[in-house]
Amino acid sequence: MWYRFRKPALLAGLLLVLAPPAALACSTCKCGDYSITLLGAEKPYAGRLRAVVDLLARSETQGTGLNARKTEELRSTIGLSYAVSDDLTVAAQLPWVRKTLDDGNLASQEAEGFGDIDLIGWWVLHRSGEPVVRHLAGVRFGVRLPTTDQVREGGSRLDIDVQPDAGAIAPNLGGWYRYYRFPWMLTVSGVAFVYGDGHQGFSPGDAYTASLLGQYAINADWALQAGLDARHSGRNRFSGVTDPDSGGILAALYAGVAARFLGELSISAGAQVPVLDDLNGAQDEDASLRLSLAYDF
Amino acid sequence: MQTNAMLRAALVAAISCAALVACSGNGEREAGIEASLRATPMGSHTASHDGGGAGHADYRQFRRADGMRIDLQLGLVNLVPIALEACPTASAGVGRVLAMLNPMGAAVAHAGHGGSPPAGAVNAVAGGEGVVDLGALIAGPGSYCGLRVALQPGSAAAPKHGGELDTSLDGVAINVAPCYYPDTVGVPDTELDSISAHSCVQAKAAAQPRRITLPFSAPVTLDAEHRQLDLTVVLRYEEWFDGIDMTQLADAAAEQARLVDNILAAMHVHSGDEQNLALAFAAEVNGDQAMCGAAYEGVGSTAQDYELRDFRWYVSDLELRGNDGVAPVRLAPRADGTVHQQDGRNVALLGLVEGCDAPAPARTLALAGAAAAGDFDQLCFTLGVPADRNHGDIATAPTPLNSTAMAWSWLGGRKFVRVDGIGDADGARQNFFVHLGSTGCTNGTGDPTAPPDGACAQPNQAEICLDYTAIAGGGRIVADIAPVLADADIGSDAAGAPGCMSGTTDPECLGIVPRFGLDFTYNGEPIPRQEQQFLTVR
Repeated sequence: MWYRFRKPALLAGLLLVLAPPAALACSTCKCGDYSITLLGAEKPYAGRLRAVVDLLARSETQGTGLNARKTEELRSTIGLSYAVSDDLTVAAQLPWVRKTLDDGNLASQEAEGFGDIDLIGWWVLHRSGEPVVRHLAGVRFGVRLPTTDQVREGGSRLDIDVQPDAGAIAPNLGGWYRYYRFPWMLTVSGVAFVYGDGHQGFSPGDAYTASLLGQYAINADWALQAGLDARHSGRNRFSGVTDPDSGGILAALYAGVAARFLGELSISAGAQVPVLDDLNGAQDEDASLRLSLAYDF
Repeated sequence: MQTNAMLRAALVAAISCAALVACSGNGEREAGIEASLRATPMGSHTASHDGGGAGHADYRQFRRADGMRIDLQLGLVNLVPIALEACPTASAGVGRVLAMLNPMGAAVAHAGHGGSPPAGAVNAVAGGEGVVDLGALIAGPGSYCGLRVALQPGSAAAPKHGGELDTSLDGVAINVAPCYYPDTVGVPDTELDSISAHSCVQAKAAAQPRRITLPFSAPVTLDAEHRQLDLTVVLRYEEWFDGIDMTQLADAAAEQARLVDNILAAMHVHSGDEQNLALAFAAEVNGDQAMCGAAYEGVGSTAQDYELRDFRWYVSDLELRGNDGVAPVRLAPRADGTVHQQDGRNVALLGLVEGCDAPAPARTLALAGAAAAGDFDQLCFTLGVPADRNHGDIATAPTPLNSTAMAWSWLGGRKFVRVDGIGDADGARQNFFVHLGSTGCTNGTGDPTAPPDGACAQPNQAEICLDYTAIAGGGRIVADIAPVLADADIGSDAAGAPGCMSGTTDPECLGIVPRFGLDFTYNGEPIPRQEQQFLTVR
């Protein structure tokens, strides 16, 4: 009986874990639960080892006119997660980031390098439904550590805006809930990030993210996904001066598709489009694209 | 199965670790459009006691427009660049309005991605070149016609200099300390040092920000191919105190306001592709400094005494010529209105610009401006006023074309040169005037209040070319009326107007007009021009 539901449930879980991390209004405060791929939405089972590669393409513009600065970012994140037990999963996630900045005065900067590593744990506090688990809930805890490169050119550091990440320690804590009823799945999560000081006098504003994602499995190998991600963050500070064009509230819709190949390889792709923009100052967040690959060993 | 999974995981981990070790960050940067700015004080060479000369390391000595000697001990100006001003197009107009609404201007950088503040206040009394780094402005691609700057009240103390003087700019943009010599008005340069009575004051002004746009001599296009612009703001400190009641400067708000106006008006800008021009003039009679009411010996064909009553002249359409072709000069406007620059053309009134009968005699003996850098060895200009600006209504003409003393009529136009004097000053006292201007101007009716209907028969606009190498090296352009009068008997007048007023039937003009380098017609007989003898470089 359990096995009868296992495969679609596992598929749904695999597809769900490939859900997008949502757009980044900046490289420090991410909209939505960007670690969902690593955790996996299927019911955790002890000993699972997962490798994940996420590719994210996004862009944003801060400021207007001469002070406009357009950022284009391609973020490739590799991650490993391991289920220590049915109730505890731990993971590490390290991005390789390539950024370009184009300013209103035609100045440009380009940098690539490793970003800040995320160390994350998920603890299941509640499960219900027999024999098939339908409800899972728990806490998420983690910390971001400043492993990012300080990219230089000609001996001098490039601007913080083009650096792969902020280089700030950011402990984070949140909760999550998942509901399974094949062919439907639903997950909700929320995380709070508290940022320390980063490189070059840059202090990211604290951020609060929330995600709602639904999935419908068309068949055993394909599923459709839709979701809503939101973020509220405080203004960044640069050398003690508040950046008026930072922080605020952003919500975005996600739509995508997920598929499974070769048994253990899952791929998902989708786009996220901002639908609610209450960002401070002059900020313009573009749609983002995401491709994810996950493999369970 | 479990073992295989672990092996694969280990392989992935090993590859990941290898990648981490192998990869390191790298990046590149391409500079954007940026204007680097600096400021420099500039004096002229009009006075024999040049303030920029040796021996005055701690003050600047010069003579203001009325001839009063000024020793400037302190001249601090807190100058802040605001933005490059786009040329007036429809879209640029909107941007300019938005920029004006932005109290911080375009120099504000987001997260430090452009622009930098000035290094400090401009110090007119600084030693050496006195160049101050005004920082940098970022700009978007476009065409720009000027630099917007502000006199910005400061807070930081300026570098110490000037002995015991208060060098603070706290709450003000200007801090000056001149010593003035009231009795030097009307005194020749040669006697300047013999007058020691003076007073010293200190004044602070511009407690509120004041902005001004300094126009470029030509539009500057900035784009991907032209990203760097070097600009130098020139502060002509010798014009700061023109028209100011020095006795009231320390305390009277009105005089301090005039000082602010003067300082704003006495600034111009030039780019790195341009050269700064400082043209110093002198008015002389037979080699001696021209002074109102002064008598000069040995003037004219009969070596008469000559008493000067007026000495002024127009120059226009200045340009540099040389191996690099022709470079128009853009003259910097002056607070006294003696320079008119518009649409790439210019007119300036030089000499004793208000004549000798003015209650407050004023002279303009310096022009400043900019022209393209290059290999130029000649400074050329027209002695006079261009025809298209010569025959206007003086009631509505811009300064300096509205000078009634230099006007004949709408039909006749302006006197290009006016030198009034009295010949045989100790005897016959013969009025002997030299008024050079266009003649033979007609409009069918002869109505003097209407413009001519065509070119004047005798435009009498002399094209003068002088050795620019000598001028750039500090030489002064000396206007001396004596060589022009060398063939004239200034103690008598044979016919026509007293002296020469350009009349083609006036016998005195026979020996005068050709000496301006002009062809002349006397009673229908052509008289060939001579090499002009009015202006030389010394």
